[in-house]
Amino acid sequence: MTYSYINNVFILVSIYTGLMTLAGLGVYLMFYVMFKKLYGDKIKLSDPVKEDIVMCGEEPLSEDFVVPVSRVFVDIMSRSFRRAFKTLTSAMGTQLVRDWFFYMFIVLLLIIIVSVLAR
Amino acid sequence: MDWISTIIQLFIYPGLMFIIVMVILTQWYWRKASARMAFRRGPSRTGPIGTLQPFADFFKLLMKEDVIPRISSRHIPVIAASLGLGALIASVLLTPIAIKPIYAPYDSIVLFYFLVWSSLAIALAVLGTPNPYTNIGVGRYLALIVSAEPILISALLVPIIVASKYFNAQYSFYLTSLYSINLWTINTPSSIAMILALIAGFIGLMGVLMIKPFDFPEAETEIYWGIFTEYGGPRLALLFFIHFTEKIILPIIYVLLFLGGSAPISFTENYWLAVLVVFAKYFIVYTILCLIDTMMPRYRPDQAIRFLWKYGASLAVLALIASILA
Repeated sequence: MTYSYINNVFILVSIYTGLMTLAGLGVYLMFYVMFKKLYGDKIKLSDPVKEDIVMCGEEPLSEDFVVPVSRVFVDIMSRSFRRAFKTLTSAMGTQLVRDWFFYMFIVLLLIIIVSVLAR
Repeated sequence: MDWISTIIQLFIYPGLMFIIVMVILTQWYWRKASARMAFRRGPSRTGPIGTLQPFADFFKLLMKEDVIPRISSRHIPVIAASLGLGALIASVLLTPIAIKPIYAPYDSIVLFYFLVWSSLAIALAVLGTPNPYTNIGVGRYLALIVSAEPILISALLVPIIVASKYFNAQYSFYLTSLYSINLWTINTPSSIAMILALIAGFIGLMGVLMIKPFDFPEAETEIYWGIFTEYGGPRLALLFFIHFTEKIILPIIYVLLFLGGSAPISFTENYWLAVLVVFAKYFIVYTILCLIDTMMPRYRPDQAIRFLWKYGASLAVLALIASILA
């Protein structure tokens, strides 16, 4: 069995980013562009109805289209940790836990702690 | 580094073409096994005992018209999905199942980055459509990923830390996967760390792969098809391709780090036999995932997130502490 040992992780990151892009490009050309040109475009029928967003058989108004993803996320978190959420919002009076970035900050902090511990 | 052999590996074996064959085989197996558990026959018409049914389904989707819903993003979903797949395909070259793996000290960072990329690619691709069900699905999916991905990555870090301490693996995923069978018996803290990480890793694996009870981002009875609601044709084929490829790559990584990889055969002794042993172990993990997915009901999002943080995250943190003390 043979292998390629790269002495520097930064060069490895560059190599793998290049390989990832190359594989992604291959997938895009082979499975999207090629099939679209060979089959998809030939059976294309222009009908405005099929491009509509439909919900329960009805077309929603344009302002109803976007449900804020961050609010869904925060809502799930608040229901998951009811007591902690209540303590933080009611007793401590902070609205920090209602902010999407707070959770991302926690995840980032965890990554930093783990990487420091792993040294 | 030999670029020609690297590109052949990337597109033929163990890259793109091999992964397509594996996706077809594993999907057929999953559908057949779950059907048998529910007293159904499963796919049986296309190809010998229905083996070509996933192939037919995949190419049927690819050959359909590409319908892009109004006011949705045209290019971002396809680019994100292609790059997500590219990340998963490239990550196989870091494993010993590649004929000529490319590795370096700290290559585990690249692996973790690629694993997160594939999950984020799904989120990014589906965010391109404005359907409310899709958006609720993405919110749920992000909550799941933010909870399950750190558990999985922390658990995967444990064998890498232990191997780096005792076998000078230099935080390399590739080197760790060669020594993984020896990590269970170094000393008591390392054994405890490995057991805890094994359990936490499996919980994280189930979360990232959306195995029941953690499949709430695509809860059919509540939010139609959740993250996949608005997609059809080639775009849906690409998203399914990422999801099914994750079901191949992540259990293989789990096998390489926790289940001894190719042991009792070494990759240096007999490469093809070692690869067969890895895939035999992979099919055991895959069957267990299939069994759980078929038997379990679905958690509510808050129940699932609480479970992941309460049990998965605490086990992963304990495992990390034990691995540092080992």
